[in-house]
Amino acid sequence: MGWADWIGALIGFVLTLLIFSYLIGDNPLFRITLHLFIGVSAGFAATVVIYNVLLPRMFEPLIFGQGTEQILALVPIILAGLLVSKISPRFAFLGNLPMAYIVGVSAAAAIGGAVLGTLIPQTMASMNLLDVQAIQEFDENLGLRMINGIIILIGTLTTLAYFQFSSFSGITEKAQLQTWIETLGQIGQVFVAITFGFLFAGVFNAALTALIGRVVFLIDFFRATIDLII
Amino acid sequence: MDEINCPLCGKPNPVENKYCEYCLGYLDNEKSQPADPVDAGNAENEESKGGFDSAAEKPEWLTSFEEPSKTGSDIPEDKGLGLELPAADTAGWMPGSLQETSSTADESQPVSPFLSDSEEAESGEIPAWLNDALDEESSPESYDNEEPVEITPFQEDPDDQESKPDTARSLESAGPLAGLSGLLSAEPGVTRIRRPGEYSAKVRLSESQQQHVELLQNLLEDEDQVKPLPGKSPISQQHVLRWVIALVLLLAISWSLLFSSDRAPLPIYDEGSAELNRLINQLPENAKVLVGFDYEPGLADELDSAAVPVFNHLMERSALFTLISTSPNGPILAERFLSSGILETSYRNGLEYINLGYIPGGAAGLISFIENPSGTTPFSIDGHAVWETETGESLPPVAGINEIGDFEMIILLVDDPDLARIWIEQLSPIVTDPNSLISLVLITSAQLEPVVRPYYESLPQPVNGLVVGLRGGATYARLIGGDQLPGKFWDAFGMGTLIAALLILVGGLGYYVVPELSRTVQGEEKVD
Repeated sequence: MGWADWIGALIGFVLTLLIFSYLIGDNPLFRITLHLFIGVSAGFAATVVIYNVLLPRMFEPLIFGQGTEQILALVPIILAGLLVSKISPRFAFLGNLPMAYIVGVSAAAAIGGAVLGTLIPQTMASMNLLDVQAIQEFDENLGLRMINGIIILIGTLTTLAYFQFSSFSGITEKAQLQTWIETLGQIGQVFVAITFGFLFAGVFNAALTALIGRVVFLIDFFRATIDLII
Repeated sequence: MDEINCPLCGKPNPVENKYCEYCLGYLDNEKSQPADPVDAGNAENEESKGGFDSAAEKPEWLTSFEEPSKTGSDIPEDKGLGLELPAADTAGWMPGSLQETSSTADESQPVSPFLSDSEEAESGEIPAWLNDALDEESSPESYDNEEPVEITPFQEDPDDQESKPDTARSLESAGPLAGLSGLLSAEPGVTRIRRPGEYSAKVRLSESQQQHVELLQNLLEDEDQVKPLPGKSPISQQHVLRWVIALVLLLAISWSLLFSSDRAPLPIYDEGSAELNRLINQLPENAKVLVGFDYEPGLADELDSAAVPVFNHLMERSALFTLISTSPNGPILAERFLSSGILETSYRNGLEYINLGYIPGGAAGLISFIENPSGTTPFSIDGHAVWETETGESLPPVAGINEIGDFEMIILLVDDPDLARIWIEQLSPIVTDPNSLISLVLITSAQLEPVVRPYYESLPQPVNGLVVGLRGGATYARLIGGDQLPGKFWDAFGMGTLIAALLILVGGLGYYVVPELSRTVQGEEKVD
């Protein structure tokens, strides 16, 4: 490790310790580091947007491009200019056109993707869990797949029952859930608890790996410093 | 110059004005007193003289109109609107006592309708009931027997004295409301702006009301007083617990990293990692691989540890990388990943990999890239033309790529569930197409596994391989062999997980057992 790398590592070392100072409680050193990180991230993002999006895709075609390119480059520039008018309450209505375009395209992309990429395929996959012919096409271990399918089926149904809150009631009777739905809901509660436990374990694993990464960095920095001095 | 005082603000105004110059209040020139009494007298004289000073100057119609009115017998019939008569006109028929009363009162006091209508008035005689009333009012004895009554502001207001009795007594003689009394007059004076009456500030309260007032006052006084917060210890039980957990974890991790001589074995098998290993082994040489870097720096260590063995394997197979990101921080993380030395092989920019940078627009931008990669990202992040260079050829990593389906594999490094879902949803139709040879592989954080695993488990598979967190990376490292980054982390990860499990167990036991024990002890003490 050269001196330039060492200085960079030293900054990282100090910032890591400042982040660890949150163990004492919320303090100015921790906040300074946090603000520094946010500022650097925002600055880098702005630089990327300027050099990766605005200059090559908007201004360069407008200045150096041919006739059609220039005309096409005008469209985003005009729309962006109209969007900037949103900052003025008087002319904010001009920004409605590009805003409607953005929202409409984004919503169409998101809804289309969700329906065709998640909703229908996942529903079909849940249906195919107990389809013997379909299982045999992809997996030889039919028994395990069937058990897996049955567990998922029970989990899906009971979890749906757990979120079933509507009930029927007579004129004089008090509104209450039917007993069999309540029983299913209690089983579903177990599945919900297992899911939350799984989520918590995942978050803990991610955080623990990040902590190990930082400790490894600190140890490596100490070793590099000793090597540099000696 | 003649002036009159405004009845509202009291300021002097020229007599010609109908409205006050200061407050725009209505100036009643007939009723308002002149500002200066001397001027007022002169004004009266001038008024009597001026204008139509002599009878000769007056028009005939006015002379004929004025003369009969002076007799007093031809008082115009009152229509219930309150006719005003000058004091001098009443002198002929009004008795002395009434004259005295009327002289002290406002000269413009209107004559009541019953006076003008009655026969006694026509004959000049005073009715007996009026005489009795006047005698009673004039005798001081009648006042001595009465208790002093507090004068209300309503009675003090001269305008109200003037208007209220009129409106109360006025009897409508014509029209649809004929015969009704107490009607509001249609005169402008009814809506005249008046000075608001003065009301007494004294409030009469009962004892209970006073008690309530005192209670409210005490409450408000308490609100004003600053009460010091109860003393809080700077080091709470929660702080101590936090420090203990952090210290135990840090010591365990550091010890396993520094002093552990024998490394724990890496996990043997994981279906997603094994499937990915099989897919990479099937790739041809110089396979074109699209890599999406969509994670944040905070989870870089975890994603690095999961991705390093996969990329080492791909580099062994001489795969060429095209890097892309839908997050602004992605391009720099991609560059760092390939050039920071954590990989066994060093790749050269432009030859073995290309960084296409950032795609703006989220899902819409991604759709645009999937449908037309060269049109959406014509340049690399360093500004070079990628798809068509000066020689007219594409750079090696994208040579022969016209659409997204021309890549052999798409690898996505992602830590955000929404981004992962968007990528999978948009690529799903291409990947699940039976004629397509492309495969989609996810390398994700452990916290994302519940979201992405259903896509991997479903049939047909929109996700063909899955490496989750450090454990997935360690499994893959075992599959390809060699000293990989996950192996360096694995011991510490195992120790940390073990410590965390013990802490959860001890904490849970303490949470349930300690209160139970204390209850049992208390029960025994009571029995004793």
